[in-house]
Order: sequence, then C-alpha cells, then structure tokens
Amino acid sequence: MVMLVFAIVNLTNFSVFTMPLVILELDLTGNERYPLMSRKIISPSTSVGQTSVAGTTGYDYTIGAQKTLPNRQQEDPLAAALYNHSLHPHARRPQVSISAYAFLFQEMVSLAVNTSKSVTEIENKLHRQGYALGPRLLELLNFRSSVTATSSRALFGKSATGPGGLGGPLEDSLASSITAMRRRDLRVLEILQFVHGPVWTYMFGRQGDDLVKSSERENEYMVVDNLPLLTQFIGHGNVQCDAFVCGIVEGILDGASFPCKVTAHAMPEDQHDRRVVYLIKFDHEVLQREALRF
Amino acid sequence: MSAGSANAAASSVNVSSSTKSLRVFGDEIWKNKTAKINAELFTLTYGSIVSQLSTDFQRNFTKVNEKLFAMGYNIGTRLIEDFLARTALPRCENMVKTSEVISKCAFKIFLNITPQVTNWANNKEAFSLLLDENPLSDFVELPMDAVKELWYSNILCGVLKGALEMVQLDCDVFFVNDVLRGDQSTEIRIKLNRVLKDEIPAGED
Amino acid sequence: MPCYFAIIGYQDNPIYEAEFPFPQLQSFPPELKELNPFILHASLDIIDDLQWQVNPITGMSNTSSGGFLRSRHNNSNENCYLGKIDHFYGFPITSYLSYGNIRFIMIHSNGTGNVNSTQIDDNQVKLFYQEVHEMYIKALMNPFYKVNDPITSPVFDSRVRMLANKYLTK
Repeated sequence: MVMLVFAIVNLTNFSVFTMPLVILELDLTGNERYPLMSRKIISPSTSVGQTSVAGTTGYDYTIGAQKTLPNRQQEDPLAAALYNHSLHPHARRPQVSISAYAFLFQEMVSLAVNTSKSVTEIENKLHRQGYALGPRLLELLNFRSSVTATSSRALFGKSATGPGGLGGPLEDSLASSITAMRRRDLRVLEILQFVHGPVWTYMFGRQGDDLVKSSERENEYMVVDNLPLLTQFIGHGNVQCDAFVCGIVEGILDGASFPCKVTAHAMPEDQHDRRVVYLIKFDHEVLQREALRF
Repeated sequence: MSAGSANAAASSVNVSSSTKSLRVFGDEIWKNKTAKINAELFTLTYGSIVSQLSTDFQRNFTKVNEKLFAMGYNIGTRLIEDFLARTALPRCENMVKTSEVISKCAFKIFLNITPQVTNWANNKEAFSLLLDENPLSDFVELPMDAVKELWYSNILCGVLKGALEMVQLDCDVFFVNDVLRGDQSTEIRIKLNRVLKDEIPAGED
Repeated sequence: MPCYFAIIGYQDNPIYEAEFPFPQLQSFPPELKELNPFILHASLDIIDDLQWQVNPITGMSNTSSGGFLRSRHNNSNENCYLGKIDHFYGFPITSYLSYGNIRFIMIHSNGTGNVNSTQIDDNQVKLFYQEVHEMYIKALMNPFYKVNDPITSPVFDSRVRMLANKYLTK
C-alpha cells in the first residue's frame, strides 16, 4: 500500500510522535479494507497540560514516554488476569468439541450474511475476521516454539488465580527460560512452510496436504487442504466460507512482511470432494526483495 | 456429530439416576465420542466476533450483549438436538436434575468444563453456574468503556435459554458476575419461569 | 542506567513508550530527553536493513551499515535480538524485532554523557526484550486490541516497568 503522509509539525515542541497539528493521509490505492491504526485526533490544546494521575493509566501516545518509578503500584490481580496467565500451551484446556466450534462458526457466517448485500461483501467480512487472528498466531506460535522441552518450569506456572504479589506476576514467564528465540522467517519458502506446518497443525490438528509452487507464475503458491475442518458443516453454497482461513493466512503473511492476497478455490478430486486450494499471490516487492537479499 | 449415539443410549439407562455417574457419563462421551478442535482457535474466533460486534454497534455494549444473546439463542435451539442425539438422556424430572445435566454433561461435552452448581433458591427453581474456567474469555482484558456494560460471554446465556426452551423449560438466563469485570467469580443465573405446554415430547423424533 | 524504551509499529508509529529512571541514578538530561524520539527514529532505517539480513547480530552480510557499531561478542544465530545497532554520542541503542516485525528499541544512557562509560550487558538486555515480547504477545491476544494500535493497558505499562527494574538495573 502506498501512503503519503503530510504532517505539519509544531516545531516548538520536540516530540516527533506526539505533536503533529494536522495529519493528512492519502491512500493512493484506495484500499480501505484494512484501515491503519485508528488514530485519535491529537489536538495540542487538549494534550498540553493534560495530567495523568500516576498509577491509574497506562501509556498514552498523546503524551509520550512517562517517567514513573518501577514497582510504584500494587495492581489489582484480577484486572491483570490476562498478563498473569502463562502463554504455555498446557496452561489452558487444550480442546473444545468441534460441534461447539461449528455452531459458533455458523453464527459468524450468518452474522456476515445478514449484514451484507452481496456475496463478495460476506466473504470480505469473513476474511477480515480471520485476518485479525493472523498476527496473533504468527507471534504466539513462533514464540512458543522457542520454548524448549527442558524449560518446562513455566509449565507449572499455571497461575490463573496467581496472586499479584511483588515480583510474583513475573514468575511464570516463559521468556526467562528461553535460551534462543526461534529465528524469524526471512524467505518465502520458510514462511510458507511455517503456514503449511505449525499453523495448520495448530488450527486443524494436521499439516496441510500439499504445498505447491505455481509453474506459471513466479509469485503464486498453493496450500492444499483435502478436508477443510471449519467449513465441513456448512453446505455447499455460493458463499466461500473458507475466506475466513484465507484471512488468517493473509494476516500471518502480511504480519511477517510478506504482503500477499490469499483466495480459496474449491477443487474437488476423486476421493476429496471438499478439497480446497488456498492460492497465495505475493506482491512483487516480496520477490524483488528475495532476489536482492538471498 | 452424532456418531455413537446408539452406544450412548444404551449406557444412559444406567446412569440417569445419580450425580456421580452423570459425571462419568459426560467424561466418557467427551473422551471417546467427541471430535475435538483447538480451544484457543475457538477462543480467538469468539474474540474476533465480539470485537467485530463492538465496532459494528459503535461500542454500544448493551446492544452487543443483546446480539450475543440472540446468537446464542439460535445456537441453543439447534444444539439441543445434537446434545440429545449424542447423550440420549431422558427428560429431567426437576430443576436439580436439569442443573446436573447442564453442568456435567452439556458443558463437559461441548466446552470440556464442568461449572459448579450452587446458590439454589428455596423453591429449587433457580440456581447459579459458577465457571472456574471459561474458554470463551481466555486472553481477554476488557477495555475501560466496556467494563461496566459488556457481558463478554453473554452468548452462553443465549445458548442455555434457547436449549432449555426447546425442552419446554421457559427460563431467565443471565450473568450475575464475571471475573473480567473484576468480580470474584463468573456466575450465570438460571431461573425457571414456567414449564411450557408439551406440544412435541422432547427427545422424540 | 536510565533508558528510553519504545515499541514501534508498521508505520513508524509508537505503540508504547516509557522512560525508566532508576532511583539511584540520574535521569536523562532535559536537553537530551526531548531528543529521544528523534534519535530513536533515526535508527529505524538501520533496523529496516538488519531485518532482512541472515545474520544481523554478527554482521556477516556484505551490507555493513552500522555493522562496526554493533556488539561483536555475541555470536548467536538469532535474528530477533539485534544487539547494539547504533549509538548517539556514546549512548548505545539496542533493538529487537518481534515475529510480526514490531520493533522494540531502547536508548541506554548512564546519565552523565560520558562517551566510554556506557556498556550494555547483552544477555540481560536480550532477556528484557524477550520478556517484553511475551508481554506484548499477551496484549496482542486481547481481542479488543488491534495490531499496531497504542497499548494503553495500565497493567502492561506496570509490567514493562517491573521488567526494566529486574533486568536493566545494575
């Protein structure tokens, strides 16, 4: 996406981040499917002299870096549940029934159907909901795979109700037991293998059935799934509900700086009448970078 | 997903009497007769729905609650068939029995959790479910503006309402507490209004 | 040593910023403090380059921008922690990339402006970044948080400061 940003910055204030008076963004591609971060309008008159009471608020980007002493506050352990709970995969119940998921998925689809005027709009909505999960899975799965079997100390740090005592909240971190982080994937093939392997296994309990490079076009790859798990309860219709999975894959690849478009295509084969091919079209900048770097 | 319902029907005859065997029964179905999926994918998908609704309704969380309830209601009316087909449990004779089935079978089979049944009303027609764990709300921190308004897992109330109605139990189902809001527990209240007239006997085709 | 720490998003927007003044040490001199965001921004280009190098830490690649400035004693094969990537009049700047290429950057300072006295302990700094990375993932998992938005959770803020206290005070 090509962006032009014009900013008139108040030069009497030195913070680059906090003080643009006017920001105009022109999106030259007209692609509004994934708007950038929702920006609060920063008005100098309100942000100057705005005081925040120490210990009651978090980071406010209209103010900038705040200088506060570490350990200054005793936080409410309940409000911190998200941060107290270990990221270790065994810290939560691993599974729910697939019918519970199917009911939920059907509701998500009908929500999209009832609020849309066209099939494309429905698919875009499902795609967008999947897309939001992409960056989360990208970070979570890579981070988890950095944790080696030996660093299982955190496995028992399952503190759903863990007290937020001084120093306590940091006890069950996984990071402190990681000796080497898994490498970020730099090449197209590496990131595709990540999608086809760990991501598919995480979501569907098995690897993708095939990973193929297009013989006709340089920038196209395909992940094949013979039996899509999520859409097996949705009837064959004109709406492609696999758009949700497309969104997830696109979100992961975009997040890892491999911008692309992902689409799903039903391509039944002899034994697999629900077989779906996920077509991944990388932007040309990805290939250029690859040619330049590696 | 009703594979094995015949076996379930055979075993249900023995277990329908005592609470303990209901638990064993629920565990058995979960272990051997339930296809499963990653719970975190479930959590994340639900999260994506709630955050989408919050945006769609411009952060009017009362409306989000209503919408989640309505979605749950839709699910409940369909889920009950699936549930009865898989468990082949007979009609519950009273609310005490109903509460046990909800906690030890329904929640177990679908979400792999077993909420505590507690806080019975004197007339034994209203009780609470305490959810020690809630697979819908893992990874969630409510934003400031939602803390007082949003019942994040309200879809569960809708599901219970819809499912109970299909077995002729007209109930009020609502959240009383949620740890996401800083409460000590997550509590769903279920209150029987009346038993509906039998038009089609439940559990029979 | 006092540090200015920031998490920077895809559009070079700040997602989170903090200054860690440790009680026993001086804070940034006021004239420098206001420059911090600028200094940090200036090093973003270096990170953009290192992001795609096979061995960003050892600087093995032919492209050598900033290579001579960086820590040499770390022979790790990792490419999340980038080590020391730049400096500003003796203040080292370290960086770390998350898997979603969110950039974590920190300016270390001893508060006196003495060019040679600011040493960084790579192991401790790396652990700090890894822990913040974990906190960041937790924040990211929250369905109400959108990737690339500022992280405003007070709990996150206090956790990061606790981590700074644990790893960066010496």
